[in-house]
Amino acid sequence: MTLYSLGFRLLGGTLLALAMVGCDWHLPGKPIKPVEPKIGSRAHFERVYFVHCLGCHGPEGRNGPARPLSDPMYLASIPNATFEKVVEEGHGVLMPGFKKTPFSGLTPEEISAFTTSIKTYWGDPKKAGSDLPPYAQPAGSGNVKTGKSTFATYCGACHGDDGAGKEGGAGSVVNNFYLELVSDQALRSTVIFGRTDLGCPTYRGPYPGMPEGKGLSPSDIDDVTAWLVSNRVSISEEAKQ
Amino acid sequence: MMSSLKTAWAWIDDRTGVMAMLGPPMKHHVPRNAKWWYVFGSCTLLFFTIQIVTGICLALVYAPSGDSAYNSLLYLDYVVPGGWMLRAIHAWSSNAMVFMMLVHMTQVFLHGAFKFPREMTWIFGVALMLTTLALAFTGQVMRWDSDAYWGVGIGASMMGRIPYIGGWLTHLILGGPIIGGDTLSRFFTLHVFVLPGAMIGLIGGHLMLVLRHGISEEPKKGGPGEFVDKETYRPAYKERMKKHGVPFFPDAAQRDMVFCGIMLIVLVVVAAWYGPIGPSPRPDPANILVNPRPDFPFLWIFAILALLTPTIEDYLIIVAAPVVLMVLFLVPFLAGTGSRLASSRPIASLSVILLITGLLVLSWLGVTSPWSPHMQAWTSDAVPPVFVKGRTPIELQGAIVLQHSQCRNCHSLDGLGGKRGPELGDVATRLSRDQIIRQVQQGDGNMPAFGKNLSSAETDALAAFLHSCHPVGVRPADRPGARLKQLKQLDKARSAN
Ligand code: HEC
Repeated sequence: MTLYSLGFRLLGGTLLALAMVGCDWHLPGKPIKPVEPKIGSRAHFERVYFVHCLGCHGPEGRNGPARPLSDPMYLASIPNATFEKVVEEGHGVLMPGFKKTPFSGLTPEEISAFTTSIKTYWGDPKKAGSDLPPYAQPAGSGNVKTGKSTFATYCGACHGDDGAGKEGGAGSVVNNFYLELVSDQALRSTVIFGRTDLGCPTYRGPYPGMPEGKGLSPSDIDDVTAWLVSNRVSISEEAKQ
Repeated sequence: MMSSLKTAWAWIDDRTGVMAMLGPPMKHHVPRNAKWWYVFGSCTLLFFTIQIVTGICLALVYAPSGDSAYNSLLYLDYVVPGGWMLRAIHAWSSNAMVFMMLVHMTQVFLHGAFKFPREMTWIFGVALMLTTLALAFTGQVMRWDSDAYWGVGIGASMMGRIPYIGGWLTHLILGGPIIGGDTLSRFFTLHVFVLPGAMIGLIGGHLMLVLRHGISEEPKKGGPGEFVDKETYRPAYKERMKKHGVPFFPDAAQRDMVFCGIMLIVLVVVAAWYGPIGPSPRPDPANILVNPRPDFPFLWIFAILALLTPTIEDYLIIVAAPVVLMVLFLVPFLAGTGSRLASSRPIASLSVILLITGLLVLSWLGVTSPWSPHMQAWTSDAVPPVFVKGRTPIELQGAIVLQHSQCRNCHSLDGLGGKRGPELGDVATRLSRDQIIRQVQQGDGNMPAFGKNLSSAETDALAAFLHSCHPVGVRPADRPGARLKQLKQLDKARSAN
């Protein structure tokens, strides 16, 4: 056999192999299409949460540094439109938006499916209870002075009467830097929903040293929020000092 | 039938003069001993031809826009019949082309084939090497996945460090200040128009020069053409070819054909077995570790960048890289005459060994070392609950800043996250609060400075959180600036000397 006929045979073999591929045989290298979870399914919801939220909001939606999301009371309270807007555009200093970009992010359909799913899968109207205080602070409400004393009464046991923290307690909530990083709504949400995963009670209590079942009224919530917000030193004022 | 075909061919040949044109190059004489060492160049050309053919097919479906590039690859993989094989062959043939080109270059270098009078052939070859690498790099970007993003990002930051024109050049390549949809259009234009055009022109020149100067003999001790002397080499070579040479076609070409045939089969088998390369999957729970890595021809560069500190990298990019390229271009002028035998050229042989070993070791480091960032860490690596429990409000905000600033692309908490920087779960046992703040603001070693990107509130929160990161029962490093003071004293002592 000459080298030439060998060459032609090799070429023929290659062509045959290519023809086999053309018939789309199941060769080992053929990629297998992964099953994409359907938008709105539980799998899709879990995936979106895993990819985008878990880092800050914690595994299973609690025990993260940021607000727990598997909180039935919170989910019952936040309006859908607000929720979608926050996911899409971000909120405050540290919550990023997850608008679609070429590399990542979520389409509007995915976002609205997500906010619906999270309420379906993690919400629980029974646990949330009824008569929830309004999610957003009613405009013009809240009395700073009453708020200060209400805070001392209910929250002082852990955060100190002036909110500046306490030896062995839960730390300061009037720290300038803290207040610079959180939004008014975040403050209000913490007053209402607490951080039950970390031991901070909801507005319904139980508050240490208070009788069981004694909690904050809606106007108490407005007042305490107003007082917390009033502790914020604006950056320009800080510069003056 | 046969005879009418023959008549038709005779007519075409007569009117076009094809045979008269192709005859001499096909029949030109090459050394009798030019055997299996001489097949690598043709094989590189074969892979390039495959790239053109498969590339054209791919371009029929590929959508070069930021929004749809990724999806058009998935469409090729799952919907177009045989589309995945097309992608696989294009990708593996690209790797094979780079590999074969390096083998060809090594052979030419070791056999001293670049010496007089073939200097220009070598220079065209080096230009071809650069074009090939550029094609491989831009091709990797076409996948438009996290590897591409990471590769372009590093490439752009390298280019940005070139003095004076760096910023402008980066802007030109990226089509804007950041990586976006325009970046892909630029790279697409380079990959399918500019670079292949340049490649074809350069290959034409390279082949023309090969024909002009002939193929050099394999150097043998005391054999013909072992010594290159400017006075005698050319006439002697001509004489030898006339007497002992064999026509390129069919004598030498048959080895090219057999080798190319074998390589073609290897390529198809590898492509069928391993399938297309990338696009790297979108992150999902089943695939936590999205660890972007460049394709193999660039692994070593990325390993170097990961292992060295930014200041040394600057020298490398601005000084060393151009010098190495210059030397590569100037090789035939630095050693244009003399013996072509590898065994009588110790420096040349040694540099080949060192270069190959270095590239292999660096590539291996690139594969194994945990230098690549953990891209999704900021949104999908949870802050372990033990670092959340019992923290004050400001410390919790600090943990959010840590995620948000993507510190965990490089740093882990309790082993979860990137491995490029040290674990931060016990950082408070090593550093005081001041030192943490200094590290974050000014950076150090391979850590970027975050001073400009973080507000004072964010920095303070971050330091508060990190200072709370220590194992239970171990006291944090409390004396502020303890180590800083020592370092300053050391500095003073040093400058006094
Ligand atoms: C590009 C990767 C990278 C990123 C992003 C990064 N770091 Fe680092 N970091 C490093 C490296 C590498 C070191 C080791 C520094 C050295 O070489 O001296 C380091 C060291 C540190 C140290 C000192 C650790 C010790 O034990 O000595 C701290 C603290 C730190 N980083 C905090 C941060 C914070 C906070 C962020 C986010 C704002 C961050 N890093 C982002 C790579 C990174």
